[in-house]
Amino acid sequence: MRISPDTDTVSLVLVGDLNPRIFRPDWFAAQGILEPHALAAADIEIVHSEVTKFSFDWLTIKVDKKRFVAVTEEPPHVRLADLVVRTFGEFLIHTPIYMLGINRAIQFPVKDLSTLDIIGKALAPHDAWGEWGPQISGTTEKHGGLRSLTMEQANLDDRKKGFVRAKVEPSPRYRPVGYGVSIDINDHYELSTPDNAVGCADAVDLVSTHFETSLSRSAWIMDQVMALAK
Amino acid sequence: MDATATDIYLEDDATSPQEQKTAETFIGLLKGSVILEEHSVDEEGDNFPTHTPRIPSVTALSNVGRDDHYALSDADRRAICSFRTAAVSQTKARQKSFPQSLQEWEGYVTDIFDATFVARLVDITGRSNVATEEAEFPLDDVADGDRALLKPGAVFRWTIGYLKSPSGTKKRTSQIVFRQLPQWTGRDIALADKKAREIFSSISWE
Repeated sequence: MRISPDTDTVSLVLVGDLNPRIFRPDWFAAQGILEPHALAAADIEIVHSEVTKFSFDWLTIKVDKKRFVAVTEEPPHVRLADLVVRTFGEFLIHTPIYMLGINRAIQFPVKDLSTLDIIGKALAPHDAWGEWGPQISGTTEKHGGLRSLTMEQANLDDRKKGFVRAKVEPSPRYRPVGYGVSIDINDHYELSTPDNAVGCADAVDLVSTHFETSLSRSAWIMDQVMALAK
Repeated sequence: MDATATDIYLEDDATSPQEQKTAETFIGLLKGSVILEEHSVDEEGDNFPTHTPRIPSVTALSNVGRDDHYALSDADRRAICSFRTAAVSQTKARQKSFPQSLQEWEGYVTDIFDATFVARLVDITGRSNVATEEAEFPLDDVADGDRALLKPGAVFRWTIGYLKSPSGTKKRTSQIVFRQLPQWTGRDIALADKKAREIFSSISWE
């Protein structure tokens, strides 16, 4: 990416039928999936039949009855894929999973409000809004413009059903002293329907083979937006 | 989830520097000396502004720090919990340093010596598929928890980059993380066997 992001968050989301109580830190340690010494310092928010959430070092895991979410902000991101492939590929292979998301979100700074406007107007020209267009920008103090835009690609060769969505917004991280952009890429795979989901072999295969390709594509899409800032 | 008296008491009883900072921010919020826009953290860990939380009542403010937390109304407990969430989220977000990766290699260990190990490296950042470099690393660079994984053939990721503090200062970092690759399953072996047969049958011998 041509601009170094200040945050780079990668998450893997598996949607299906899950038992949150399984996903305890000591369970991951007992299976040898996560390092026991690091897990000793885990910040356990909740372990419950409805929801489990804990974080340690490089990883946050949140599980409810329908969703497993693993998040990291630290490279190497491939650790996330290894975790999911081992967890579901070796130990929970019969867990019904019918949707998968490989998501990446960044925030990067731009030098001023004018640059933020250039990006916003390139993605959503004010002229398209007719007579309202000239009134949108306003003043520096009362400034308008693009607040959120989501673009979707649905025709993808690597899946039967799904999409890649990119959401672009001004980032609140840099306010009030500066300006920045947040980009959120959702690489979504629909593997089956909730009623027809049998096991998670397809999801594991996808994570195993597509994870780094997906992150590279996300970085490439993000770079297209960054290019507008130049 | 409703706040409980225990939630509030824990804030007053904070001991670690971060907890203390959070508690101070929380009390500042309650007293009006700190004004924050409430933020939440979504699944991707991003902060985003949400609504302005309800202001706890004067009764609630005067009860903070006392033992009779149970005197708070449910509405005040919920309001205080809302402020507490905002304070914790903001404090965590502000105190955290963010790693920025500049270059990443995948390596596999070829030799291990008394104080070093040697590995062949594939440039992941450069999207290479083959090992084009070789490097020698001190054993001390391997995290204690990864020492058991260090053996010939072991696969690891080596990343170099920056750790950027909230104040903007940067510290150069180098990290070696050994991968915990999955075991081969019967399905994997069957797929590999099938693929090998396809490749074999596609070769035309002359």
